Amino acid sequence: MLKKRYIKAVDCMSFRIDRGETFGLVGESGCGKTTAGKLILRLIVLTSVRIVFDGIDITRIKTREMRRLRPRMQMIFQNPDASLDPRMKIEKSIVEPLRLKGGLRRVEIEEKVMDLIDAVGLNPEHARRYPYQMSGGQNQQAVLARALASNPDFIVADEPTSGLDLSVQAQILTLMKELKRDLELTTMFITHDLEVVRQMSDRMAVMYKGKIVEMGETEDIFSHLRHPYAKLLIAPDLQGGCGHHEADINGGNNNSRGCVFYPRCQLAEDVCSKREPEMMEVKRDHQVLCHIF
Amino acid sequence: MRAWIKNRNIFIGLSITVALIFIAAFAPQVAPHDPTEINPMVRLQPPSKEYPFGTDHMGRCILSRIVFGSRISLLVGVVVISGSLLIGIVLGTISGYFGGLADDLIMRLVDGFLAIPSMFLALALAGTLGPGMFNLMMALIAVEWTSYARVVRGSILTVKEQEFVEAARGLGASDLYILVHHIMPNILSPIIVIATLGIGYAILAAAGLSFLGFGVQPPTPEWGSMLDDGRLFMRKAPYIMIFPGLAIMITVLAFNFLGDGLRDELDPRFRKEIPH
Repeated sequence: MLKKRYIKAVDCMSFRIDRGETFGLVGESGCGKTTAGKLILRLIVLTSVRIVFDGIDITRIKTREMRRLRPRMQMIFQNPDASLDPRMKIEKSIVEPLRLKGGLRRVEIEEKVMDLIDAVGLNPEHARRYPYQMSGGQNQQAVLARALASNPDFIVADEPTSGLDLSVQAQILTLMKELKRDLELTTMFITHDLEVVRQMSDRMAVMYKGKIVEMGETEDIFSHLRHPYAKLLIAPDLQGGCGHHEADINGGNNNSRGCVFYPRCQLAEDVCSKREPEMMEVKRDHQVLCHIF
Repeated sequence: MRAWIKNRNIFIGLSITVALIFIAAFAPQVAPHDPTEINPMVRLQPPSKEYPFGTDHMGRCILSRIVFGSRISLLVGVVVISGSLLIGIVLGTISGYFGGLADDLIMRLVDGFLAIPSMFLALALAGTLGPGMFNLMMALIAVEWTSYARVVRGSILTVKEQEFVEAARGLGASDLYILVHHIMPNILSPIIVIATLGIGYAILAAAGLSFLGFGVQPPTPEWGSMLDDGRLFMRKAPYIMIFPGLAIMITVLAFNFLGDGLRDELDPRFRKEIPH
């Protein structure tokens, strides 16, 4: 009588992130960017998916093995105030990944914490504060320090600057760039801010209703837009003044046949409503999910 | 620890609690008379130098009975709440954190207990187990744990969905680590509040059951049964009820102060410290 309804938050996504690369994932709110980020780190229950991290298929390993692997892959959450335990001082929050990873003596842990606090631009006195005693930007710096504490190889940064004011945003982005350069981090940068993705990422993907609709090198995508949705999102002027729409996440048609963007596409053809498009390589390392190309 | 003592609520609560424990521990030295000694010559005496809180209908010293009664009342309050908390936290945690079939089973069991009025259930259990202080405490624990399990489950359901818990999981923390280091500290406030209020309830409930003959048997002094004893003489000798009532009130207040203070100190957001 009451049948459960499912919405595919992420569907048929396939991409690679090379070592040392920053991969941008961009799309409007509710398109499944955060879900994709959490899936990659196995933070949510997987249905049918294969994720290979440094040659290890993490979808096939046991929870205990996954826990051992976690220090190598970290996530920076959207809301820095909420991702720090309100009852833990900043110092304790940064110590936590070091304790969980193990292998360090108390003195070494204390030294490392102070190094991290310095590296992200906080003062030693911030270590003794609680998250509610810090600003949003300072908390995000603390979250960065915590994410870096376990020397990760890969970081998923989920809109790390979305709740911050412009000057703090710039400060965090510069910091992330410096850290990426110094520590040779591999990063997946999730955002809906196109300027940020252009500034931060080497390669990027545009998402719409749980699917990647265009993917390639960032500068190539910005200069040679193909997919009608990517054009709408990145350069609305090209669509004759057609503005940015809020995603229709509830009335999504991604369970029906045909292209997910078909109902909103100005260039749609008959085939778009009948058959789901497949990812097509339009040029080297530039793929588009569209029948037209 | 020094900050805890500086907290006014903790200081008041702890001072009264320590005083009560001292009185209970050294009752024979503190009490001016034998609490069970019956003396018909001095029955229903108002407070005087000889009997500071007066005497009851059997001529027993009320102050001495309150002093000795603190042993039982404090023990019942603390044991009943500790036992209920232990069961409530374990079952509430399994139910709230792990969910699924365990959650369904535990919550239906709780519903079953809550479907019967708590005093009736306590009476039935105390009646089945037989009179005595241990059985009385078991009966009260069996009734009380359900509310703790519900509060713990509800609090965990809220906290476990928060981003910092997900962040801890992302760091590689185990379920046990997350429960101990992140979830428990964040659900302490409601637990402390209901536990401190529960101590008063447990003392009064034990008194009620003792009055019906299921708990502590006469002539052993107990605050609740003293209240009931005084009921018949409320107009003629109100002090028989007033002093045990005050003792219960002060004890409950002390635990409430302690609970409020602990809640404030354990939750940094309530602390009155300003960063420099």
